[in-house]
Amino acid sequence: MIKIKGLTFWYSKRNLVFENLSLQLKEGHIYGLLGKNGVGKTTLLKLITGLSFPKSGEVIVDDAIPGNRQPVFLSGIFLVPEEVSLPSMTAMKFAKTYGCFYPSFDLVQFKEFLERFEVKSDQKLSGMSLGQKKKALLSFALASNTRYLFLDEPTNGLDIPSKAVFRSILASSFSEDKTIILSTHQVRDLQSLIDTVIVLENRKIILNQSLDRVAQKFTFGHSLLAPVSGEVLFSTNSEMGQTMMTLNHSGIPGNVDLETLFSASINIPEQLSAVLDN
Amino acid sequence: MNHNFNFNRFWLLVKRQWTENKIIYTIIWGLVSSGMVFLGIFFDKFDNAAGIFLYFLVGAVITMATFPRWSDFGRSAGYILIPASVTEKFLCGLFYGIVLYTLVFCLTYFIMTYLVTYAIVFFFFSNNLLPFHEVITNAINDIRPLRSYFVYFLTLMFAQSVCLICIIRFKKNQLLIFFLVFLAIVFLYGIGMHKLMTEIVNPKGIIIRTPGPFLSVMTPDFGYSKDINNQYVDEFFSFTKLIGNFNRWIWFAVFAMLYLSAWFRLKEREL
Repeated sequence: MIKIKGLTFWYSKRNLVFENLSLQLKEGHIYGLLGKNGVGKTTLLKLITGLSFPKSGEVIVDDAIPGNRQPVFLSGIFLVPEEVSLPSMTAMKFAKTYGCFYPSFDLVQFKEFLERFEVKSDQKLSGMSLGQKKKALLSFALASNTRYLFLDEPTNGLDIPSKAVFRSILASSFSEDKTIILSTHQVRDLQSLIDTVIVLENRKIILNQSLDRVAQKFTFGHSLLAPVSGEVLFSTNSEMGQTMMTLNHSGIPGNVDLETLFSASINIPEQLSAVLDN
Repeated sequence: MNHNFNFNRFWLLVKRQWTENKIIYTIIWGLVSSGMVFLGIFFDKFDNAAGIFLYFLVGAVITMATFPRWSDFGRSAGYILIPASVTEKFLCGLFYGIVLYTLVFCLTYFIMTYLVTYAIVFFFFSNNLLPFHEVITNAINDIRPLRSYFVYFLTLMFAQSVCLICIIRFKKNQLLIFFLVFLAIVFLYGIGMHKLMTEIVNPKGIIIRTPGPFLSVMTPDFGYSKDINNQYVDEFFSFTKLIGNFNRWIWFAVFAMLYLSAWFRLKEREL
């Protein structure tokens, strides 16, 4: 379990990134970490993985403090950064060189994932395109079978078929003892994977809810007509006219439109919380 | 699982380091070898001062190649997140930057300066050539005063620890910053030593130069020339063995502190 308590962090004192932020992330979930650009999604991942240290408060991952960077802790996590930088060696050599540091790394799985992504295992990583590199690193990350997997904008640079392959591989390799955090602003790519959504805004978490609960409480729909005030909690313009978010009186869960939910959480956070916390 | 040092993990890091950097290391080795042969052929014997300069310079470049580029987030994040302790990563760097490098440098020096140079001269400029056994005897005679080489090894450690701190501390222009810092330290050390010697001996004339070695890690002796009535007089001084040893231990303490500082910086490095 990841426990974040009273976390405060800044790069410069005048510009706080997080202020007294608290959060718990449990095993067996795929979390979607959403937020505007520069809100601190990558910073939060850096703090959880121990690449940065809290200014105050604490981050604990399975009783370990990430900032200590103990080998046991590091062998249980994997971070795929948005900007991938890989050494000049073939994908297979990379897997053999780095895989031995991860106790559950599976070379057969790695080869299978590469094949599904259509990445050649004998091609040099340095000669690959950004998308190919990302696919190679995602294959490695998933084959390392770590308990915690942090993916920062994983679908950036992937072509459309590769996004589908990624979703399929991620879903098939996920198990109840794992925790995956997907930081993204391309919610449509990953909507089908995420089971809990976390929205960051103004140095705090303004939404942390399972999509099941969101679906029980709200319905999302499209209309070409302007919304009738009173019934609609939130509406936004979309390519299909108006996308509306209304209260779900029936209690039968429907589909959640993550983009609309994200916009609503930014614009009407109190109303959303009032309904969800009820 | 030991948190701080595990030989298996350390060895995996050593193998990773080689796999990732073998091309760079081989290119550097090739350039150094060619340089040694060039100097060996055209300057009769590989010049000692050039050799020492090469030793420090290449040592700094090897250290640069061994630790990641901190301006590259992906690369440095990958390095920090490798499941091994900071101590193992640090020792792996020192293994390449000091142990392996010094061994390879010395072996290359011997092979290139004496054996290869002899072979080239023998095949292409075979006039006036000393007998092979004499060349090897000279080589061994050159190598024999190991004590005098030790000071270079320690100076490399000093240069490398400064280099390490620069690499870990700064994100860009690390090599340039290292050279500036290193030159500044050497300059300040020179001024400091000169002042210290002047204070200790309290000469009556004006000190012109310091003909003897500086007071350094291996030399508790020093000297200077002074101008007395337009006559240069060289005077040499020697400290007692106790002071000499004390001086030496201070130097070791400085290395240890610099390495410890580099280790600490690496441990506390944030991205």
